[in-house]
Amino acid sequence: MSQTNAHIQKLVNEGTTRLLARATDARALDVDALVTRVRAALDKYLLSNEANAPAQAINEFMDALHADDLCLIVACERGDQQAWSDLVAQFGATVRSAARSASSNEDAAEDLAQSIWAELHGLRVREDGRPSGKLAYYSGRGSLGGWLRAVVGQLAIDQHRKSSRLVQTEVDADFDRLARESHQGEESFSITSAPPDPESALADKSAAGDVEAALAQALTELAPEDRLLVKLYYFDGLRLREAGAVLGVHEATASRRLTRIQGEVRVRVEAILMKEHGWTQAETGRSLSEAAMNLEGDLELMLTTENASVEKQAGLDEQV
Amino acid sequence: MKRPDNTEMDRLLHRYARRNNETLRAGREQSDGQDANNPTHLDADELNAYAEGALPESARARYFAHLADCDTCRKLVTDLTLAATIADEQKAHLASAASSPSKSWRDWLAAIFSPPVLRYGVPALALFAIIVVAIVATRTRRDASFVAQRDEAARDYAPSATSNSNSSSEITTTSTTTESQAHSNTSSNAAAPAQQQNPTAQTNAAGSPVLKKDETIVADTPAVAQSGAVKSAEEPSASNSKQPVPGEAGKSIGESVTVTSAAPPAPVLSTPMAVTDNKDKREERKRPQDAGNDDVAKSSTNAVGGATSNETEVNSARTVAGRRAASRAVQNLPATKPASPPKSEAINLDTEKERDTETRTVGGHKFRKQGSAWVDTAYKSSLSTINVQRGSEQYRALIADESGLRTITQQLGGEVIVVLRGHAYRFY
Repeated sequence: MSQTNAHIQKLVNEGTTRLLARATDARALDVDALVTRVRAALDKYLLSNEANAPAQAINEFMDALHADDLCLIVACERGDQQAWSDLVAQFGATVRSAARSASSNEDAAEDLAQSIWAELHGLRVREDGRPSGKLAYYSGRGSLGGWLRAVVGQLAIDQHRKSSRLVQTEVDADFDRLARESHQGEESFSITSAPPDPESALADKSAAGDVEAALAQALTELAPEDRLLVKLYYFDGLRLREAGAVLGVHEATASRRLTRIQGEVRVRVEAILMKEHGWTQAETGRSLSEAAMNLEGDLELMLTTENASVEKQAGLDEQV
Repeated sequence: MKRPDNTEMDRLLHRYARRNNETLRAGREQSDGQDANNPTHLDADELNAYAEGALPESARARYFAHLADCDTCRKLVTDLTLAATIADEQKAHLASAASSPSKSWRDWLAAIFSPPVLRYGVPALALFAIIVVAIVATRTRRDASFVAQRDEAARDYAPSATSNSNSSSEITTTSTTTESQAHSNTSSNAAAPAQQQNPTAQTNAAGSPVLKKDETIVADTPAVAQSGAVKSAEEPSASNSKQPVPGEAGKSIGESVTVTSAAPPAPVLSTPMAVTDNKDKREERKRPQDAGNDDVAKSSTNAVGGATSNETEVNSARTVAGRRAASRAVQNLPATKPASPPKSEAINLDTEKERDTETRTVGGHKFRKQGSAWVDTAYKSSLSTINVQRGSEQYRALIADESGLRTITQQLGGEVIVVLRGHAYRFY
């Protein structure tokens, strides 16, 4: 292991040298100033997953780092005033635009953009001894502009959380509580007014609720990547092209994958329903199509599933 | 079978997601607190590296699970990815723009022949050109057809018609006295019998030349026209006026001829007949006309005994009238009734200029003034004509069906010929 480690360190040193040579402005940095950074990035993104990654992969990883961006950030971290003003000059616009898109109004955006620079520099030291400045965490793997955007985004979310906690009134809290309670009361299903026939409505509700519960379970059983696609497409409402971009695949691939996932989810849902509720294949299919067909009107759902509920009721009577 | 399944699942997933999002929004505060303490949140560098696709595949796969479950990180990654995509596109665009600033006219040429232009622009242009050509062609053709008709009419009828109209106008003016005298005699002495006899007698006589030209149905109409002419000449005599009342003449014809199917209306027919007579049947016509006149004379003699003194006068008047029957028809009838365009044009040369200028458009129909009648410009002599008397039951029914006719008949007085759905309606 130590041999391997020494071997890797040698590769990293060589890679860092190449990186400095590649940079158009090395900002008077030497290999020692950068080598820990490069090693950290390598560990984080490559070696933690592939401990025995071949030398070629390691070299490729290092050669793909953004040399100039990394040099600029490291120089800033070391207190290079020129580097700092270069950073502000080059990326001030990026930070402002990211702040605007992450904020609800212009004033908030301005505050956010200003607070970013302090966050980057990190005047304080964290409790665990690590530097609090965000600059320390830029690996050079992605572009500096993108990284700054990500930092702004995270900061915006943090600030929003804090402010919303302060701003939220008791009335809002009450409403939220009421909403939660009502959802829990309905087994997180129907939100319509009380139907005329409580008995059949209850049966329908439970049937549809069963379908929904099975659906939720089926989704958790999906492969992470497939689950991510489902979340992006259905929950976040992204278009296939956008979801594909997030997944790093083409739109057509995302479309094919989604079709496959739909089939998979159906199979799983059916299996769960049949196993847990003892439904037959036909019952399951009918329940699924009924649940799917009655998205808009629960009254309609009630009418169409009346037969099913009657059957169920008869079954219960027999058991009694 | 697979597709409906997928549609079902699609809808179910959509609904589940919507419901879930609602629940999530309601309980955000709680989950946020958990998220904040979640140690596995992606840091900014990871988010960015993931979004830019800069991670090795193994590292990338590691984040799928967290991104699928963590709404916050997923949202950040989505925003970053889309921003990066846009930035890439902009960069590519800038690069392409920067690489070719000097080839401006070549770009312009390329733009002209670019696929979208070729696909949409050129067909659109071609279509436009075709439409323009078609409009121009139809317009010139219509003009040409008018010219052809006019030329044809002039060529056919000009020699006879012009000479005839010239001479006839002279003769009529000079002979009106004798004619009116003759007619007054006839009307006073043999009014009733002549009126009864005339149609039959003249059908035999004047009908014969027309038979060569038209069908037997038409054979009635000349007689009617003649009788109308005679009658129109008779009636004024009672009121001591030389010119017949147009409305009366039209009415008499309208009464006797109700519907002439598959043939032009009576007034129109009368003119061709007259024209034909004028043109080449002049010699032929004399004899039957004389014979007809003889018959009339005889019948009148039979009817009114002792009217022999008038017989010669009537005869002579008849021959004159017979000779100028056409001219009378031309002078009197066309003044009240419309005629088919080419022939009427030839005949009414003197009024042609006036008529050309007198056109009106009522209720979407264009009417040309021909004599005292308004004729639809769409009217052709080949159209079947239906005669409708104003105020009659048929008239009211038609008006009820076609409100456009009401405005036409209200705005255009006198005789009107309207072409409607392949039929010509003559209102009088």
